Amino acid sequence: MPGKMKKSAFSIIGTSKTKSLVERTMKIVFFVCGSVAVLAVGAISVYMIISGAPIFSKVGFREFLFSPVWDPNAGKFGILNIILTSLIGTFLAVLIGVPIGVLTAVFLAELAPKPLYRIVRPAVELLAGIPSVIYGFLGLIVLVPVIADIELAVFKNSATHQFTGGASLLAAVIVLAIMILPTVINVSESSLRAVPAEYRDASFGVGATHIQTIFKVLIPTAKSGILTSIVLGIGRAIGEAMAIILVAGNVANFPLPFNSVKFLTTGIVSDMNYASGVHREALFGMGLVLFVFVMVVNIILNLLLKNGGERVDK
Amino acid sequence: MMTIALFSGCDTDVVSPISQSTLKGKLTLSGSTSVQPVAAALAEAFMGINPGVSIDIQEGGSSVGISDAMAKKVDLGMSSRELQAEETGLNETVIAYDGIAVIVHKDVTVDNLTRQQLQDIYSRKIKDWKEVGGKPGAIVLIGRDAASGTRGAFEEIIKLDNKNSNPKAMYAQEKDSTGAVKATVQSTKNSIGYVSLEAVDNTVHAVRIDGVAPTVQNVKSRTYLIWRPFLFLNNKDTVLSPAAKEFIKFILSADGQKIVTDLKFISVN
Repeated sequence: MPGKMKKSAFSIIGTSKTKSLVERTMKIVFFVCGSVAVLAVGAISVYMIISGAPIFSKVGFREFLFSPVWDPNAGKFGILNIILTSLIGTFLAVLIGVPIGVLTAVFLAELAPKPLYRIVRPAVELLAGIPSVIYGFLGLIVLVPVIADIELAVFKNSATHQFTGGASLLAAVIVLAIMILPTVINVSESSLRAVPAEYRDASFGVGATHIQTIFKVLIPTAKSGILTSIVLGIGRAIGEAMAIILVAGNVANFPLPFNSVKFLTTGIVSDMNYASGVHREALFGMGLVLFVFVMVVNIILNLLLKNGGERVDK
Repeated sequence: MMTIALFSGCDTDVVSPISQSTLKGKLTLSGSTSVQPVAAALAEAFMGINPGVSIDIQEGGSSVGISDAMAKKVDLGMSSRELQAEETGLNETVIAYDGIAVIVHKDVTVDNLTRQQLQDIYSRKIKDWKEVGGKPGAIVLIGRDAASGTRGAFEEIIKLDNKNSNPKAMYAQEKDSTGAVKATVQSTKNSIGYVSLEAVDNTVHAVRIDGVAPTVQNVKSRTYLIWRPFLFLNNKDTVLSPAAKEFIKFILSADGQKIVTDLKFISVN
């Protein structure tokens, strides 16, 4: 016999009349919350397009996107080198960070003895929580001097190389790679753990070794999760500003490992405080380009998820 | 009646005999990171004498100060370089002069550079310290970002502003303040940079230019080559608030200029 039920209008255990009122109210509340998210994205998109568009008509589509000469004081707004730096820098960071991240995830999910797991897993989660600017600071103090010495050794006999003292694309790429590790590791590990035990048992059953099982059965099954982690890593790397602004050098050169470089993100952060007029519009244009890249990455993610999902269900 | 007479003697606003100023107001300044230390010290002294005034100073670089003054966003814009042709409609008040010291990493053995050598170094015609008499080492060029008045003044005087057939300065790193340049030069071997004169200390080595050492006396006597005025700017269309007018009067007075010279800048008289 249930105890006395409270006849409160807000109780979810109520009469059918109050129940439907609560249902309808909560549906509206959820709808409003959802709309806020959609409206925010919509508003940002519209604002980016409106503020980013003027520079294309002022400076010209071709010159803005394809000229390597960036000199705001002289009225030159060509962001080719800056775009290439963001693309190549992100690509290299992902190239370094993803294999390390996925293999670490494999280690954590499959191979780590329990005591080691208990140390490494929290360490990875802590790494995920460290603010970007701390990474940049450590990069400045620790990484930049080391790269300065490497630079001196590599370009010992070069007549043309401009020495940067360590603030270079290489420093930024290393910092970015370390920054995307936690994201890649966490998501990949979760998706590896989600592979049904039957797959593993079946593989052992037909005589495969543990390593064969990992590479031929588990990773392909967890593919969509791993791909998701890669795309999340790309998203984080392409949007990072604070960590790399301290180590990248901030000059709009062609992105070679030992060149001082400017990213789309660092360019906006360093100039936005004081830019006015056409310079400011150029920064919004850079923001729009960045926005387009992020959109493209997200579209690819959705396509991959769709395909990945289909494959698992077969 | 007696009660009222009794209480009329109690005055909660007891004015201390030292500060008798009734001046009130809020001032905002923005602009040069080089001017900021002077402005902050002057503001502190002024607020001590006029407790009813509050002064807020932001940085951002000389270009920010100039554009904020033109846009009437602040009461006074601070600049550490002369105005350019397109920066019109502003009243300029010189509050101090400052030298720009060229600093190198402590291990660099070069002690003197000519203006021509400095231009060649920054335009990368000269790439190694051995070409100017130092130990062999590739020169790392540190400078400021595009908003900097220090950079503007430096490039104009050493003729590196990419105008009228002057070469362009090819920086390896562009930093956002005098402090950041000093920190980078301090920790980067074979580097060269330029900072406000008062920032020089014994962690870096300041070179002589054309044989003249960067000292306050040499800037005052105009024998040192690289110097610039510190300007307070306001829009010609606006009338300065009483607080702003008094602040500028204070800065140009003997007391204000003493604060300027105490900080190793050069006074206007």
